[in-house]
Amino acid sequence: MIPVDPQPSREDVLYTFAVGSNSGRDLEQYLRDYPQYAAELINLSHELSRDVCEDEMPLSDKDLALIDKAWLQHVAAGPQEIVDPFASLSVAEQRELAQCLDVPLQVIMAFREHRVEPTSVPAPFLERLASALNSTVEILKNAFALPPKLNLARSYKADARPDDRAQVNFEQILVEADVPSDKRALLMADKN
Amino acid sequence: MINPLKKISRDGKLYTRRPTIESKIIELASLSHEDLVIRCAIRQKDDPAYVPSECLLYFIRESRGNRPDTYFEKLYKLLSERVLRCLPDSSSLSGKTTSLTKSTIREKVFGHFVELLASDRNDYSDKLDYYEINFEDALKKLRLDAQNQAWRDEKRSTTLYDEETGEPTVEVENAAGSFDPFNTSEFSSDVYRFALNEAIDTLPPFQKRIIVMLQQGFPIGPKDSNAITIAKALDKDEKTIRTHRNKAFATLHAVLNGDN
Repeated sequence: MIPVDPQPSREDVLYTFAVGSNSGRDLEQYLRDYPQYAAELINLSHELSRDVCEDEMPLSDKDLALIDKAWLQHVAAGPQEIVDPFASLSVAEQRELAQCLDVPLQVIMAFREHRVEPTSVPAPFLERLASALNSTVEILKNAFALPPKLNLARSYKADARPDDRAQVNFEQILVEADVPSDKRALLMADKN
Repeated sequence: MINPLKKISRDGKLYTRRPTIESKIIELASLSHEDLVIRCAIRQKDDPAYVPSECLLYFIRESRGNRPDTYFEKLYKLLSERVLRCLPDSSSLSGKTTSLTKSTIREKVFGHFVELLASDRNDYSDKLDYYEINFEDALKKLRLDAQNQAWRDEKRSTTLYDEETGEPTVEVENAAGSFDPFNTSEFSSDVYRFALNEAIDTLPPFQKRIIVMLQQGFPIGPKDSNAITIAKALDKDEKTIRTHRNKAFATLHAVLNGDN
């Protein structure tokens, strides 16, 4: 048996009376047990005596808008899942993306492993990347903020320790991928 | 396996759903998402395939941790539609009063329910357990809260009451004579009882409580009785109760006869 709350809240008393569960719905008993809520219990008993008459008419546009708004509120209230558009890319798709953006595959892999410092990526490149992935800049930024992922195959071969896999500047990624300087300048341009 | 409710009752036990609801949930859980949505869209309660709102709420709460996909959205919107259909529309059923207030009550109740569901999305909210036990009556409790608030905001008054004293006018009291709303040949009529319930809503709160208690057979006095009497529950002497009962009867007579 769970310990009984000696002073249940007004909400609990009224809800328990309303749903008539476990202890039943006996107004006299409730008035005896909770005289402090007498007025509300009496009001509620009147409310409960009404038949529910459901509206059979089609919902108005206003009602439909209320429901749509409620759904958005409900979605927003839930755990906000960070979607990583790179997560489901196959190797072939990664190659295709690299070609589309005219960068080495190594750059795409750096994004996939969350090794690129988000603020170092120029806006025009970010927009092209989002567009190529059928995603949004906002989603990409959230994905970049995820912790760097360890690529087991590559890290096995690498000399660097795991601590060295912190996020690095986008330009540095381009340098490491042997992108020529004139092309780097284009990719690093702030304007389209 | 159905997840049990978590709310603890006043006698220290966990609340339980009604057995018919539990059986229905087990039956529905074996359906595909598409079939469940089709079943939940049935509105006629006498249809054997009808899904009670308690079950619909169960499946929405069970989707709590899932991504908000189309299935989840459809169930949510079907339940929202049921809530709106249970609430009075902005056009008064009696055709006489307070359409704006009814509209306000409707939006308040719906808004509170939406908040309850949203709060349950992240963390289990045991307040929603009441709605899995008896959906319609739990909603009535929510409606009462919204109604009290809306009526307070409206500061309702009608020509049935004297503007200075807030009491029924002399004309109204005289016209009522010995009228007793519960002792009339019309009482067996559904239409009359519906109209009477609407009329009771127009009374000042104190008089309304007296009438509701009389309707349920509580005696007026004495105040110091061991039994529950109206005088005792409302903490007033018998004379005050009788005076306000008479005033309430006069008002009900006027409302039911269309004198307002």
